[in-house]
Amino acid sequence: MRALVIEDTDDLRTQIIDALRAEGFATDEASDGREGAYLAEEMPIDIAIVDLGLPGQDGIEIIKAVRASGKTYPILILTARTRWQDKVEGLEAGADDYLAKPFHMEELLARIRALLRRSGGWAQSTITCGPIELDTRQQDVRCNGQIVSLTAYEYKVLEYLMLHAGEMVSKSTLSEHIYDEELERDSNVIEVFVRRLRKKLDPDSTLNPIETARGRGYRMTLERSTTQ
Amino acid sequence: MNSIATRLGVGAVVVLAAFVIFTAVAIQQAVEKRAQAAQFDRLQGLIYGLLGAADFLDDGTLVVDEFALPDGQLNQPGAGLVAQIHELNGSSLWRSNSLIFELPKRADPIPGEWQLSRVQIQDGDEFFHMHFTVQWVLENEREQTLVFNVAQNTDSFDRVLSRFDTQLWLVLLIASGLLLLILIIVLYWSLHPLKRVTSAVAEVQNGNRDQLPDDVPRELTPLSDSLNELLRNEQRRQTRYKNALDDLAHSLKTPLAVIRNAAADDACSTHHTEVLKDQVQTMDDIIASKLRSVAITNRSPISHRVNVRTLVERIVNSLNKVYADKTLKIAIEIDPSYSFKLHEGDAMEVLGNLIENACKYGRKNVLINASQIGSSLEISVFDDGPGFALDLVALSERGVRADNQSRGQGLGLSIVHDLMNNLGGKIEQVQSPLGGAGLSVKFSGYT
Repeated sequence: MRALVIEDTDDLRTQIIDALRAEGFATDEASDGREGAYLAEEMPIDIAIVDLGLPGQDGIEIIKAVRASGKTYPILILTARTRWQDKVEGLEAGADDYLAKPFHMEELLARIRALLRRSGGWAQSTITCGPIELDTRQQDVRCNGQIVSLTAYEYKVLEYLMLHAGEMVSKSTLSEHIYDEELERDSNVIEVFVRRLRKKLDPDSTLNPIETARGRGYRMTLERSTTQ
Repeated sequence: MNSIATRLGVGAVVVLAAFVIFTAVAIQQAVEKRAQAAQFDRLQGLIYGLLGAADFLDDGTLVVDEFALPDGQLNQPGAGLVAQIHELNGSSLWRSNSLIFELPKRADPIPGEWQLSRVQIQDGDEFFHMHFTVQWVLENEREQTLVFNVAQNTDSFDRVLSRFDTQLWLVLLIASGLLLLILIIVLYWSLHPLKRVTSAVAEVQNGNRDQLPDDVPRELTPLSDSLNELLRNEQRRQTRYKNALDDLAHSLKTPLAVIRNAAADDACSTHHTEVLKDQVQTMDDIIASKLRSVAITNRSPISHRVNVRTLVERIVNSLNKVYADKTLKIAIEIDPSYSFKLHEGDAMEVLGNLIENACKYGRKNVLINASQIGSSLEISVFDDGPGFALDLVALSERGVRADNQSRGQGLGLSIVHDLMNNLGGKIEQVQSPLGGAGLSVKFSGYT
């Protein structure tokens, strides 16, 4: 999952970025409105956290521009403005949620997770595809009830594939959504992660959860269902 | 008299009335004088005619040739024209046939002097009476002083004058009526731009327009320019003020967010973490409540008319996003025609907080309804949550700390309470048809 944080206060931005990375997010950050607007348009973002009082360009303008360009990823407003008029204007501009400063980091993360689940069509914090269960809150994965130990990158790949179960996901899309920096991206590494995931989730090759379409990418073959 | 229209109207009526009366009196007097002069000339002519008809016989007897009389009426008894010749302060020498009564005795004028006066005879009739004294030199060189009297009944004279008066007043009244009508039209026409400006000012006050129009009459341009400048200043002030508040909130709350998150760091001891969190919460509450109270006291005098249903729908649409996971059913039962004249920000603050509370604590259903009775509008928000007891005293004291906050004590309801107080309205707890909490706010005089 790739998150964009647009916040002009360095300390707060760093705190949020750190917390997001600890949750396994790839992150982009901007300290002013113009840079933020550019990243929001250009990067393959899954979720954006936008401050309203920004130098350069107002947060509301950024949100309007993002929605006008047809992008539908969830946007969470983070602001010191607590008036209802600001809240309503922000949400009407196209934001999906609103969190007033000062906030609890856990609440911010919970809201982000909820927004991501909702944007992926999930109401619950657990995503299930066949016997594979992925708990986005605890960030653990079970297969037939047994905990499967995954590295952070393996988890990210699996989460993305499960959120887009049934859809074809290209290697470049996967790498864009799990890596912070462009130079880190190497589609060969994605192949390695997928191979390891198959081995860990389906050691006997009975389930075959991840299908490879040569030259196009990967697909989660198991249908997702909601549990809990 | 504090109305331009009344002043102009009363002024116009007074001037018009004075003009009409003055004109009427002046014309009346001129016409009467002219008529009297004509009367004088006529009677003088009659006396000259009489002088021509009169002669003395050789024996000194005065004779008047009845056929040479200047007016035939003199021979008709009872006619309105009479004549008499008598000696100076003495007995009558000749009377016209028409003279069937006695002319009142008057002091005779000196010879050569004309005297005209209005006299009343015994039966009450009035006559113009002219007498003229002549010294007649007889053939025997003797002088005889004679007084010639002519009198004419004033009836026809008075009749003509009174007819003229009636006509004069009638014409003047019709003319002044027409003039008054024209004046009223002119007045309305002249004051119309003022009315336009007045309604424009009302529209500005209602928030239907930002500025006064440019096409005001020249005389009012300085006023409308100043007003527009004042409005621009006010709008700038409001914007500046809102920005300042936003900046202040931003500059205070962002560090608070940093501190709060730093406090949550594992490296911090649990005790310190609690103290820090506590203090941060307190500071946050104080900032929010102070900013709010400053915003309440610095409200612009211009408020827009807000449609209640539209406003509630906007809030509900926003909350539907925030509470998407709860799949709440929010019902709005508000007549689409209801509206109130309130600052949108205030209305949104009150209703936003109430509805969000209902969404937060409600289980599945929220109901928002409104009723308008006279000039008061009551909006109620119900939920099917656990309900709570509204503590107005605690709300007005607002010293509630984060750790003992429960429903009904939070900042949201405190803001609603303060705002409603400031707006002269009230908040009260009502029975919820959904079984949970029910809160109602009543706005008076804003519809």
